[in-house]
Amino acid sequence: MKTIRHIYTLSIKKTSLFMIVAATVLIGTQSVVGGTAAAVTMMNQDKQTAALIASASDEVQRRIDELKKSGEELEKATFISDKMKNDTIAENKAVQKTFTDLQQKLKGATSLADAQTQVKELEKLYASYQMSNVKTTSLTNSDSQTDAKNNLEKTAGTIKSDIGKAKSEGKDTANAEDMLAQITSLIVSVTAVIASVQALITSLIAGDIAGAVKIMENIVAQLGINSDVISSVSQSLGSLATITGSFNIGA
Amino acid sequence: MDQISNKKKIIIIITITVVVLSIVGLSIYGLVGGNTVNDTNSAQDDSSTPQNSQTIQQDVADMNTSVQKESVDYQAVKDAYADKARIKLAE
Repeated sequence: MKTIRHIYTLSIKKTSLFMIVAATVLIGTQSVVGGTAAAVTMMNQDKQTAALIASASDEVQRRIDELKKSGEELEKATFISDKMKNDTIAENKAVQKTFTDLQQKLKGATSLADAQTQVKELEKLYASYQMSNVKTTSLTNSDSQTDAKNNLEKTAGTIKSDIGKAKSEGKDTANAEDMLAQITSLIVSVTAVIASVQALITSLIAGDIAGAVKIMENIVAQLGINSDVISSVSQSLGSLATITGSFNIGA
Repeated sequence: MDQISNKKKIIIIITITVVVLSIVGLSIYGLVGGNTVNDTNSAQDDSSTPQNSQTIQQDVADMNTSVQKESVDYQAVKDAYADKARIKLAE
């Protein structure tokens, strides 16, 4: 009986000892696993933060570069008013500055949450970037349309003078005169569109996003129509120049 | 023997055909090329007739240059509007 009790006590002691050792090992392992998981999560977050900051910085730099490029092109414009040109360049530079500032904030972001806040800001600023860039390029385009229009008028004037000379020499210039009349009326339309587009560009204010989107679409479409008309008028004037050349005025 | 003779005949016919076609082809090319050159020259002669306005050529050249620049500038507007290079970021 005594022996049985002794065996029983011994086995209880052994089991207890085993359980204490097992529990200690388990607690130790759990803390190691937990620590490792936390470190891995931290590492992943660091990587995610770095990747987000890198992509955001690329996009910010791209916007700054695009605005700089369009601003430099507008600097060369010679036919639009100084006020329009200077106001638009100033606005372009102000938008550039918002991105330069954002670039600094991105560089200083230390956590994922911080980086995400800056990215939200970057996305929010997209409309003002696009608006400013379209406005700047549109004004440059409007300036080059004015230059092209002036050259169309000059060429039409020279052709008109040649037709006049040929007519005074008794040559048949009826067809050439008809053609020139049609072309001249197109040049008048081009001039009107340039004026209306410039008014639209002036009304395109980077701050008023909702109203500006429609205006921006309208500007792009109007410039496109005018661009096509300018191209076709130029081709017609080229052909007319060849026709008037065949009059051999004074020969 | 007859077969060899036939083969020779075929080779001679093919050679002559190739030579004739080459000569005809080159002649046509020469004629067309020559005409193009002549056309260009005659057009230049017409436009440079001293009695016609001398400024027209310069006007047309200026007009073409400005129209080309206008076309490039309009493309820049379309690019700015479409902004295809935008990097969209997942927040």
